Amino acid sequence: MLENSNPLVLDVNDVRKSFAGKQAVRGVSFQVRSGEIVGFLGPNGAGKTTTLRMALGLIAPDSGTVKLFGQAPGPSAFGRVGFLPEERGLYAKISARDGIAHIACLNGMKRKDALKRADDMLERYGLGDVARKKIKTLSKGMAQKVQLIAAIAHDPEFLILDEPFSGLDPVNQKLLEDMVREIAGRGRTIVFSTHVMEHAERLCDKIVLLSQGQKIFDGDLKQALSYAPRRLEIETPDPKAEAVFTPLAQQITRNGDTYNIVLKPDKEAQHVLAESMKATLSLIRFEPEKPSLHEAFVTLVANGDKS
Amino acid sequence: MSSFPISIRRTLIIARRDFLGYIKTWGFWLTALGPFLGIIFGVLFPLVMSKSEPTRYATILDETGLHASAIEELLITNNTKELEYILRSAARITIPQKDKEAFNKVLDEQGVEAAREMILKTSPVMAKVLNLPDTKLVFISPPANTMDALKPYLLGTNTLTLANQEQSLTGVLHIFERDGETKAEYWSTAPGNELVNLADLYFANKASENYMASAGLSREEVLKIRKNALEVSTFNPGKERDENGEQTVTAKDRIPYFFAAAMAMMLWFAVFTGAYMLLMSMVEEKINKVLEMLLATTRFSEIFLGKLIGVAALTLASLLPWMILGGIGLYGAMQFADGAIADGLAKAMSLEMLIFLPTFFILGYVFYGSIFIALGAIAESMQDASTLMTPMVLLLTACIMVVPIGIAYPDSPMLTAAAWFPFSAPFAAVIRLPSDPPLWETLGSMAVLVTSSVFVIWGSARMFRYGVLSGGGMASVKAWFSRVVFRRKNG
Repeated sequence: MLENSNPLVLDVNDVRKSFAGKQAVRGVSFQVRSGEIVGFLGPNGAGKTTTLRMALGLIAPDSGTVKLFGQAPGPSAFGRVGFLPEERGLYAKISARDGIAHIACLNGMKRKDALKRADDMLERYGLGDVARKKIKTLSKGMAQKVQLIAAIAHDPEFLILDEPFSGLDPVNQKLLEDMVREIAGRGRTIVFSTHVMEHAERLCDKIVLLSQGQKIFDGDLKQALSYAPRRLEIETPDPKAEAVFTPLAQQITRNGDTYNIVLKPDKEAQHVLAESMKATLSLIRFEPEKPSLHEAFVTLVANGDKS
Repeated sequence: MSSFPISIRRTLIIARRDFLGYIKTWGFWLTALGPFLGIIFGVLFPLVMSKSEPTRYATILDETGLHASAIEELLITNNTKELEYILRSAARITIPQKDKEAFNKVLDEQGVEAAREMILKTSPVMAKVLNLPDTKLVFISPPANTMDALKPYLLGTNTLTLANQEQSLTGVLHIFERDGETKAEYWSTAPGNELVNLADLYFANKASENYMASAGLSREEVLKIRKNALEVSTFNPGKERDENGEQTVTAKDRIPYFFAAAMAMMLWFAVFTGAYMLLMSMVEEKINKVLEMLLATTRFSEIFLGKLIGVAALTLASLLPWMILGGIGLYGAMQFADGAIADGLAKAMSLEMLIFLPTFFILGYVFYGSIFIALGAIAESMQDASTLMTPMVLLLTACIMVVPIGIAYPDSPMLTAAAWFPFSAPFAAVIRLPSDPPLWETLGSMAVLVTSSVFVIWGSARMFRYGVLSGGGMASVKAWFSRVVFRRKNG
């Protein structure tokens, strides 16, 4: 867990944005500190992309403030930020190395250095042999990796990745995950939006969850997981088992001698174990299930939608 | 986010990318090499074709015995006239002004070969390329005395040995009398009808001569009289009197208008080409989804200006061969052309033209370029781009109509009005320059363009941000019109 005293990289404070009278973002606030990997989660239309665009200064909020490196986002942050937009693309008719070098040059690198960096990074990420091929000839996965390289070639302090894993096959998703982990390992700050909870679970220090334009959760992974329903799988032939479990369970599903139990919010697995011992149930199997971020996400969104 | 100051470095990187991105396309090279391709296809290709054209052998079976030799003579006369025309055209750019009179005398009195020799002495370069065309239609004596006997020569059943080769006849012109009337028939298996045209011309001339002769007149005399007919001289009371105290309108006075028209056309072409490239570049980047990534590293004003500079450089590069050839032509005209032409060209390149032409060139380009960038920003596909382009093309086409007005009626109120209308101002102001409009009017046109350009850049920047970043596009524009203009609730 990172110290809260790390300098603020991004400070989004009560931002709102409407398009044609429809509110896309409604009073969202969150902070990103140096060195954090923040997962920006939310269902489609939650306002993730609009919020990230406001964070970069690409669009101005209707109200609220954004501070990037302590200042209003814009030219002062050019060269310090790497951005992978949701709708991806590069110049189709130029080579991969030229496409990467062009963005790196705009981020302040000299052309000669940018070309060398492009060659090095393409080689490092297994694209050395397509460095001089036109981007339009590359596969989708390759083009996506080229674009990520273009976003990070100038070694930015802060990286914003909008849905970086979408459209990639599992092999390339794993590769991209390794890239993100490697960048984070160098102390860089990363915010990425995703629908794939497993990536967030594996990569993030912190999670911000949006639903219908509002923030419904902002905290670390452990806190997020606490919202996931806790499940147990118990196998017992004892006929009084259901009566023992019922006071502790929110939901019980029985399949033969196997009980799938969703615990009440105030109950823990050890309570079930203790009650089972007390009732002298003969347990064949007692398996608490690891809470998943996916379930926490579904619960939080459902709670958010109700509110 | 403030628009200024901008980073020159980033602006030039954007400009460089746009320049290099398009310089590798076929379209650029076709435009750039246009003059040379024009020379190849327009001049050299016909020359090569004419050289490789086979000689055609024809015969005239003249049963009347009255016309064959006259038609053959007419062919020689026409060929000589063609050669004289070629030589006179060549002399315009090879014979110095002081020797022009001597050249014309040699051509008139000693014929085409002597004139050609004179050009060869003056310009060895021209001598190499000045290959006078050989006649490809050759008359031979009829190899048989009847039409039926000649037909096998047309069909290739019978052949003739001509120029050491077996040849068939291309055509037979059969002239004969029937029922007291002269008839002419042309027989051939080939589709060409040059001998028919020649014979038609001969018989038309002959009919005129006969008619005039019946009244005791000669056709030759009539032509001579027409040549010496009274010519109307044109005067301009507003023109300064020349050394003879005359106010006659000469080629020298007209050339500046043609020069200005050519410049206005070039400006139109540059605007059209450049603006089109800007629109396409913008649409391409929008479709490729590159813009959002660029905007995280670059101000939109830098992208905007970078694109304008990049495409301007590209347009200049594509026009460079035209400008070089134009410059060579201008130099040649001033060195070798008639004094009036040289004087006219010198007058055309007045101080006003040298100052205001580049100014209106830049303003016109910026004005139209900004509009096209904005259109590119709201287009979501190439089809949208074409749809948006159509009204602009119509507007540009309407604006270029000021050029013929400027040549014919430089003081036309319509032209004056066009100089105050921002869309036509760049062209109208340039075409008006030779008629010496009041300086305040020219400066006024400039002010209109500057103001309009600022307004268009401001509007384009808003459309750019709206179109690129806020999900706005053609659909949003239609929705806005429905909502705001037509006041429909569910647009």
